[in-house]
Amino acid sequence: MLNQEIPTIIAAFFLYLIAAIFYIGRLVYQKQGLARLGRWAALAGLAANICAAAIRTLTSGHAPFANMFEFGIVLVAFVVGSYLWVDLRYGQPALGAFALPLAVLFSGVFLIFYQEAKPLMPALKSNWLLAHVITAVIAYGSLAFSFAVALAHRWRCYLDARNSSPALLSLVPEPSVLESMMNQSILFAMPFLTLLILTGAVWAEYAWGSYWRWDPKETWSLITWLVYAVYLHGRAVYAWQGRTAVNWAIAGFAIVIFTFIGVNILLPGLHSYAL
Amino acid sequence: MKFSSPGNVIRAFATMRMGLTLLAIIIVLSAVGTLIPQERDISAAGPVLHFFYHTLGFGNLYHSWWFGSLLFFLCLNIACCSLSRLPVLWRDTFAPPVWPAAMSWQRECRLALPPDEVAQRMRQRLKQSGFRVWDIGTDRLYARKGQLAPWGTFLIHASILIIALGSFYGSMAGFQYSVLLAPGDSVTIGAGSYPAPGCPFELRLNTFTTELYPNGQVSDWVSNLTVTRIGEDVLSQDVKVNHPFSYQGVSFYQASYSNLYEITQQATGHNARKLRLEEKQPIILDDRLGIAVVPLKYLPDFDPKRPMVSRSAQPLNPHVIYMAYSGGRPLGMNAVAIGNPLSIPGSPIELVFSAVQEASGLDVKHDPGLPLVFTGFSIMGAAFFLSLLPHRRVIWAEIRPNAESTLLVVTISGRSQLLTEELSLLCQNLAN
Repeated sequence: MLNQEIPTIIAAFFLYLIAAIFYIGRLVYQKQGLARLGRWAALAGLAANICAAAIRTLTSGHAPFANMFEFGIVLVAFVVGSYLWVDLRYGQPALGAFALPLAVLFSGVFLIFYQEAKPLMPALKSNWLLAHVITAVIAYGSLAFSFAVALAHRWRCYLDARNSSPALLSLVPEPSVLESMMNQSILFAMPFLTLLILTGAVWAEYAWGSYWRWDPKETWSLITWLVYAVYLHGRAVYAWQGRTAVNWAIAGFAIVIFTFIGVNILLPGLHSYAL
Repeated sequence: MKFSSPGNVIRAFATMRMGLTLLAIIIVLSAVGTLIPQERDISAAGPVLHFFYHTLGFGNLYHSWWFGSLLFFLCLNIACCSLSRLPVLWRDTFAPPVWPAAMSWQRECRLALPPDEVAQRMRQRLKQSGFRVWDIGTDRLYARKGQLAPWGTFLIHASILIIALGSFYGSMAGFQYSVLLAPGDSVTIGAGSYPAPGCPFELRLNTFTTELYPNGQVSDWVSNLTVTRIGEDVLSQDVKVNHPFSYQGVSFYQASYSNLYEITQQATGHNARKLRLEEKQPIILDDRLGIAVVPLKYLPDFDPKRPMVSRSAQPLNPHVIYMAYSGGRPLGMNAVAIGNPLSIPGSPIELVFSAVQEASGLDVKHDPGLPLVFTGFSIMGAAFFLSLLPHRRVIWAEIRPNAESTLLVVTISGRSQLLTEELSLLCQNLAN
C-alpha cells in the first residue's frame, strides 16, 4: 500500500480537476444539478488527498510537515475541506467554481515539488514543527479560501455590471454575502497567521538562538501580516467595503503566495529546506 | 490641521492615518531589504554603490538608523492611539448604563402580555444571549455585551509595544557571538567585552559527535559541554540543534560545525610555529608577495581519481584540499596528505597540516529582553483570539403599557452587520 503515494495524490489532483469542471460547468450551462456531481468529486478528491497524507505519514514516520510537498498536500486538503464545510453549512456551490480550481492549481504546484519521504533534518526535530505547520495550514488555508471568495465577488460584480441573466445571477451569492464571507475567513485566519509567526519566532530562538533575524522568510511573513493588518484597520476605521476591501484581500493573498512559494525559490535563507 | 503648536503636531502624529502611512513605508522598505543582499562585502565595488550600501545604510537596512526610527515612530504612534482609546474602552466596560437624551427607536413590538411579563422575558432572553442587564426605573432596560473583543484589540497593540521594548532592551543589554571549539577546548564566558551577571565562567567542549540516521543522513550534532568555575566542574550537559543549554542567563546553541586545521609552520633557520586555522581561513605566508594558503576541505579517505570526494569516513588516507595564492592570485586547488610538508613556490616557509579536528560551532547568547519578548508573544497570541469574540453591542429598551397589550421599543448599537437581524430575532423570541 505504501508505494501507492504518487498514484493516490495524482488521483486526488484529477478528482479535484473533475470537481472544478463540474462546478464551472454549473455556472456556464446554468445547470443546478452539476453541483451535486462537483461535491461528490471534491469529496472523493479530498478522501484521496487525505489518504496520500496518511501514506506519507506512515512512510516517513513523522507528520507530513517537513517540506513543501508534504505541507502542500495538507494545505490543499484544508482548503477543499473548508469549502465543502461552508457548502454543506450555507449551501454555496458557486464558491466551488473558485475554490476547486485553486485546489487544482495548488496540487499541481506541489506535485512539481514532490520529494520522497526522508527522516527529519536536525533543525526540524522539534515539537514546534507541529504547532508551526498546523497554524500555517489553518492561516494560509483560510486566506486561500478568502481569496477564492474574493474572486467570486469580483466575478459577481462583473456580472452585475453586464446586466447578466437573472438565471445566472441566482446561482451566485450576492456581493454583500460574499464580502462578509471573505471578511470572516480573513478574521479567522488572522490569529493563526499571528501564531504562525510567533511559533516560528519561538522555534527560531531555540534552534538558531534568535527569534528574529530579518531572514527573507521571516520578513515576508511579517509583510503578509502587516498587509492584512492594514486591511483590518481599513475596514474598522475607514469602513473599507466592496471593491477596495476585496482588492486588498486579493493583493494580500498574492503576498501570501510569494511568502510561501516565491521566497523559497527566489530568496533563499535560513528557511530554505522547505523546498 | 496646521502644525503651529507642539500639541497639533502630536495630535497629527497620533492618528490612524499616520500609523497606516508608517506601516506602508515599513512594508515597502522591508520588501526592499529582502531584494538587496544584506551585510555583504562590497569593498571591490565603486563609490556610488558604497554610498548607497554603507552611507545610506541599504546594505544593513534593518539595522540602519532610519529603519529603526520608523519602527520607533510606529511604536510611538501605536502607544498614542492605544492610550487615546483607553478611556473610551474603560468607560464602555465599567461605566454605569447611559441613557441617551434623545433616543430614536429602531423597532417596536406589540405583545399581548402584561408589562411585568415583557420585562421579565426581555431580561431573561438577554441574559441567555450573554448580555449584562440593568433595570433603569421600572420601565427601562439597558443591556450590553461583547466587552472583551475591544480589549483583545487593545492588548494586541500593547503586546507589540512589549515585544518592541523587550527586543530593544535585549539588543542594548545583551550580546550574541559565535565560537568554534574543538573537543578539549575551553572558552571564558561573560568576561571582557561581553559581561553578564553571574559570570565569568569557563565552558569546555568535551566531545562533539555527528549522529546519523541508518540511511547516512545527519540526525543531530551533539556537543557535550561542561561549565567550570575556578577550575571545578559545575555541570555538564549535551547541546543539540533545538536543544540549547543555559547557564547564568547565557545560552549556548548548536549552530554549525567546521574543521579546525592544526598547522606547523617552519621557516629555514627559525623555530617551528604551531597554529590553528578554521576552514576557509587563510594563512598568510608572505604579505608583501601575496602568498597564502587556504584550507578548503578535509577528506579522511582521499581518492586521487576523485579528489573532491572521500572514499569512506575512515581516516585511511587523510588529506587536506587547499587553495594556494601567489601575488594575490589563486594558483589552483591541490591536495596534501596530513603530516606531509607543503611549500609554495616563492615562499621559504614550509607548512605541515599536522592534524584536523571536527569542531563545534556554538552561538553564545545573553538576551535579558527575552522574557519580555516572550510575554509579549503570549499576550499577542491570546489577544487575537479575544478580539475574535462577538463585538460590543448595547441594547436600550422601554416598556410602554397599553390597555390590552404592551408596546416594547428597542434600539441596538454596535459594529456588527447583523444587528438588525439580532434585534428581530430577539423580538420574535419574546412572543414565544
